Amino acid sequence: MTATGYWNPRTELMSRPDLQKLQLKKLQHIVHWAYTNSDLWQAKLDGAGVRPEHIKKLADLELLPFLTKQELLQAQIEQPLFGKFLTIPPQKAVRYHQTSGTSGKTPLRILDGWKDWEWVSEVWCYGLYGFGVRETDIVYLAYGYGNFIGFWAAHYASEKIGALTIPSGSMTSRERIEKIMELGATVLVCTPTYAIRLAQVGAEMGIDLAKDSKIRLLIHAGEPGANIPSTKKMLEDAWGAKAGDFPGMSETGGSTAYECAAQCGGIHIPEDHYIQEVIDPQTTQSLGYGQKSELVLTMFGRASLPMIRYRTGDLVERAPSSFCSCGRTFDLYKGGILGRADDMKLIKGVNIFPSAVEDIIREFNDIDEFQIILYTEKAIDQIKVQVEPLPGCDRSGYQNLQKAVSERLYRAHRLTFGVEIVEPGSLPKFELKARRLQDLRRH
Amino acid sequence: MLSYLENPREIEAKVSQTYALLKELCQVDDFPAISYNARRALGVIWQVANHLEIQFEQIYDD
Ligand SMILES: [Zn+2]
Repeated sequence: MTATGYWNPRTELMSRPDLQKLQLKKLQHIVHWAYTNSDLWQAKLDGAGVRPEHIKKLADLELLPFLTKQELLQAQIEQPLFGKFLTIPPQKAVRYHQTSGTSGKTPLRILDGWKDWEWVSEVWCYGLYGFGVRETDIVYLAYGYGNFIGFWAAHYASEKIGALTIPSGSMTSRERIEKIMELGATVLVCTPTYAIRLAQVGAEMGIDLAKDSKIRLLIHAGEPGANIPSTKKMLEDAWGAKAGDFPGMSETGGSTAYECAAQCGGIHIPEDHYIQEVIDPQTTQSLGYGQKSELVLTMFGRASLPMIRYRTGDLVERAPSSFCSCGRTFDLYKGGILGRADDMKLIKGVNIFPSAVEDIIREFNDIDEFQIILYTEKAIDQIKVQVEPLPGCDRSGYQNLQKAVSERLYRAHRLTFGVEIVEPGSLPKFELKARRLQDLRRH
Repeated sequence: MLSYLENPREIEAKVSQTYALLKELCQVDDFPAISYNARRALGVIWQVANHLEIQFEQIYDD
């Protein structure tokens, strides 16, 4: 019997009934753990009238209350530093991370014990190995490390697989490219935005990274991109490599789903380490395959800050495992994380997803950066897109570019977008967590 | 060569034994290099024991 290409052939190929039995066992353990080790979890479950022994079958999951980020943050405000959802004394932890705390929000503080942190990197191994990273690879991580979990766990997973793992810390883009070339890196780990940026800097240095570098795999997370078809193509063309999508979040310890080498257009859910439900974000009713829904997850491996029915706010469309040809029995999210439930914007009665706008913008090879701006004019919501052409782009083509982008956006949305061409170099550039939407509307 | 897929019981037994041994070594109280390295290794073998449904406990103490 052979099974190649799977990090954990036992569970990745497990029958769905067996997988569900495994999930039930793990669910019972984590609920019992949370109830007996955290006052706040006990109060939360008591408040919902549920006790650990009530969880007798997988469907009993629905007896448990949802958990929100707001609750976690509130608990940390009430009981600094870590709040009463924490199940261990803080001194038992070996690792501290925090959420990115974008737009001035308080970050959530997260602790891992030594087994937990090992688990976080273990789950990343499913994705890295499944996408084709091997011990013969040279893995280059192009990001600034720091408090944000970012690619820390990918780093440890790469070491676990046995690949030569190269951190880059605070190096400049040029220094990073020099190192990628000098060491013959074969795998690049960074955000999709930054991979595009590096390719542009490479071109400025006279290096065609698709031809001149040995990079064969791109490992992306941190923001949408590798799941957006035209961005994925742009990445793959720029680097002459396969681009994979491995979304995750600090709250859940990194990787929550992963792209396999078959690249079917979806990402697999590591269902042996999580129960991932999909619900209607408004009614919280459970939804099925093929419906745009909010991802709610329960994780099993990190118990210091248990996440049980945690509302991620991420929008997904679940698909059965048969959507992919790789043989894994894990279900998938078709098209990856489609956006945030609160990212969807309503303009003149039309739903706008920033990722759908990005998909269109990236079809234009002459565009370097962009920003989506929502504003109010004469009490009516308006949308405009600022696009920044590449420095070498001929100015005489700006008007045609503006027209083409407008038409393409209109055709996709049946809504008129303002399109403004801005000077090369004028829009912000990002290494982590690109912020390309400004909502200036007055409500 | 060993095969998990052909002989799961044999491999599971080895994992269980290793897990138990490492847990014991964590108890050595006069030699930090033994107990702390054993603890590190226990965190790693826990992943395997968990994959094989041998161990579901959450471990934070030695
Ligand atoms: Zn697959």
